Amino acid sequence: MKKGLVFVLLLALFVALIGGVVSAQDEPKVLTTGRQMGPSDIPTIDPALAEDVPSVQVIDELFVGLVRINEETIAAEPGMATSWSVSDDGLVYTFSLVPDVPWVRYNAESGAVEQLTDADGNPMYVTAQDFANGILRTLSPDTASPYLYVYQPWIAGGEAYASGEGAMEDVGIKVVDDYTLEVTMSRPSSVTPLIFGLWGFMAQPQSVIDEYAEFWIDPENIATYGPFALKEWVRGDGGSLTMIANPFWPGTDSVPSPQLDEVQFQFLDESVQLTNFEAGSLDVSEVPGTEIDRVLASPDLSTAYAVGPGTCTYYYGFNVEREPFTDARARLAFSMAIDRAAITEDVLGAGEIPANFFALPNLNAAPTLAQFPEGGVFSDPEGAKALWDEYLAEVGKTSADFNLTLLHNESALHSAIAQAVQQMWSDTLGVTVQIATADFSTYLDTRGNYDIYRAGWCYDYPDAHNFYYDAGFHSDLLEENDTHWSNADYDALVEQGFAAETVEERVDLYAQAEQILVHDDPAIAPVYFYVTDDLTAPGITRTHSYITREHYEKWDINR
Amino acid sequence: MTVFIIRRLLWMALVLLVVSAITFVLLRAVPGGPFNTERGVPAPVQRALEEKFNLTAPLYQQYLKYLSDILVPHITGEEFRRSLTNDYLINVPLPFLGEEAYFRWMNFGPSLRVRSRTVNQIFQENLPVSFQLGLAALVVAVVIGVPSGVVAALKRNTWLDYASMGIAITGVSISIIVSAPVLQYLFGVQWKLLPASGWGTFQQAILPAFALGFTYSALLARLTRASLLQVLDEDYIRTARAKGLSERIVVSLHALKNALIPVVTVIGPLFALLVTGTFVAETIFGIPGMGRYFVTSVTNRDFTVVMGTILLYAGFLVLANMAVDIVYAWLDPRIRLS
Repeated sequence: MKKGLVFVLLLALFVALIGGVVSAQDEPKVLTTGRQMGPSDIPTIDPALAEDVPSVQVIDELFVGLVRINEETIAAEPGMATSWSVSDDGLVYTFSLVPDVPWVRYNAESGAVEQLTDADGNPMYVTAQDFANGILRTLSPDTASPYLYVYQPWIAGGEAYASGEGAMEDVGIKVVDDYTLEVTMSRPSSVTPLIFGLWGFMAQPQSVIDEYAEFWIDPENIATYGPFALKEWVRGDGGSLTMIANPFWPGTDSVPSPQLDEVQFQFLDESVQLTNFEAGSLDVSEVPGTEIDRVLASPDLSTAYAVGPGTCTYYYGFNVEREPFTDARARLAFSMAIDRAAITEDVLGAGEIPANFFALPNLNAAPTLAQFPEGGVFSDPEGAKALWDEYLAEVGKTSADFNLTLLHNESALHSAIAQAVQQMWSDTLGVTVQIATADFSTYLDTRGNYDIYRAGWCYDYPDAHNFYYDAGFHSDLLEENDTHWSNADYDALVEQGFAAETVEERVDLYAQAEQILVHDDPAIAPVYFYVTDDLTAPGITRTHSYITREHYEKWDINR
Repeated sequence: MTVFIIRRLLWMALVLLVVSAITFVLLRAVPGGPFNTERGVPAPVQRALEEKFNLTAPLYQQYLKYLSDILVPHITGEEFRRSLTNDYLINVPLPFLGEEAYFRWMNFGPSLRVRSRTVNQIFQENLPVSFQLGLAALVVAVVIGVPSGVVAALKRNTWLDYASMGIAITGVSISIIVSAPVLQYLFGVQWKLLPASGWGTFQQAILPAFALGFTYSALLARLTRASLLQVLDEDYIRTARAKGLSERIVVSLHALKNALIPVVTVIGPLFALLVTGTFVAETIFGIPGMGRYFVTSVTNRDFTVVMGTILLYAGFLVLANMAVDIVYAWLDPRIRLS
């Protein structure tokens, strides 16, 4: 009797074990993440319209560009193009596409990702025509893409078409055959391949867009082809978006087939993410600045914590049309009076890097402190005081004569930094600077009317050109530049740096431009380089992206 | 009664008209617009967007267009194609006019910031969530507040009274900004009894409903206690007791019904407050409701979403107050609605 009981118990244990193993194997690998998503609904997942990090994160997984930007090395790798060749003059790019990649859509009824078929029932594959359609739709004045400023200068005829002056036929795009696309650029540049890694130049399903208009991105309508497909999108702040592995994605060297079955992005406030991470219901979480000390002090959390380079530079812009910043010495003095290390260590604390330059050091062709240890602007209270006194003596004024105001957009962080800097200016230069705040929209509209404004620039594509040109300091963009600064030497150096053939030449020219921008005739005072930090639950194999978005097809869960 | 309701509805229309006009003008008076970005949108794009969303016409024309889009019903046939600028809240099929014939009414326009969604869609998908949350919180508030107020009044000046009023004072004093994260930490992180955030299951609703409702249960408890104490001193209660009725009947039938009138007065606006005031709870518990839109649309200058949510909430407040008036008449026949 007793023996029988033991046997039954052992059998039960065995069954339970087997059952456990089986269910562990069957359980889908679902990753939940709040990383880089923010607390609000994703604005769009339309490649032509996206301009923000959360939207681009999702788009980069649902669609794949001709070129894929490697998230860890920022190199241009083959995406949907197996290879590309460039004509001798550097103008014509010929892309060969990965064949037989079908357009797919998730079917909620069958619970599976399904291929799209044409009217005759044949599968629809992503062709060169789809890429041509995508690029032209993004550039079209009817689409009114807010990100047009990044796209329009590159392809021949693109700028004219986008502004409504040129014809679509004159844009340098030619479909050679189903799997060959030829694109003529407006000028030769070593940056060009990266541009084809941007979301606006991905293939777009014209027939679906025609059918559903702006609602083509809803889960029941959308057509995609990347490593993941769109499963569900709970819209609204606090909602979520779920991607499911696309079994039809062929898997390439740079874009492998996903190991994960699903990725769920949750739109949560940073502190809510952390709570959920600690409750075990979120696999990847951001860390609020106020919680970094606690995270680092906790044994569990500190092992899950990782910090990597960010994608933005924090800076103050000086209004060169208002005294005293009409004089370069005054601007430099204010910049040199900022103790950047005190801000990164005492106010921030996540490992942010004091910025001597404007451009992020990990960008393609960006000068770095290692290469130019004497370059850029350094914190130097005595030097600042001397410059400021020299300026005051010349104009016959005292520090008390200036009534300056600094504007930043509402945020506890910006406010803490502004107060620290306010104190530094007061201690070093004896100038009292008032701090004004405004909500983001008001701030953007009015910051050009203040003496100093806080700003951040995050790159659109990982090349220094994006900082030196697109950020607005080249005089082509003077109208949108709220410092109202321009410098002909700077313009020339930026143009030469863009056109130069080797990376060494480019870095060298950009270093000279940088020296003007932040030191010789400064427009801005760079303060620090952002970092990206997050928490990862145990058992997750992952990448640490330098380009804000992660490529989740390279992630895995084993637990 | 019918006359009363019709009259109130007409008033509501007038209130909404005034509210919409004021909101419209105020929105355009502040700096900033819906298409602002760090780098600035290229001028041709800005122009195209403003034209597409009718932001270039004189202000009064924009306003009239907005009103007519909402108020003027349309009957559409096969040619109708739903788009961002052409999406209606109310769509009734008219089979007697043809297969594709629809009566369509109330176009609140597209969200200007999120260029793939209309204000109607936000109403349809996110309002029910806030409504459920507000209702759950109200249930919590009433179920806890009213009985504890009754107990406190009946056991006046005993430890029960002091205890329930002590809890009530605490509840009123602690803001949801404090109570919600504490509840979330204790039940979600420390004891792992309930989900720390999210929406969709019954378990997920418990913490936010409690966090939101508890503050107001305290309010209701105090109000119920004070009101019941007052009523218990009335002559007709003494008469009821003198007639030899049991204490239970005296309290539940004679006292409570009258004592609840001030409580009902509060519950109407309270419900509106709970449904509209869910911003903090939605943020802390990650709930996809309307509360956050109500706040973020203003900072985003998403004109149409601001207008839509304000009109919706204003209409909701008026209706809640009207419902209270109707319940009055039922509770106390001496109150005449006309």
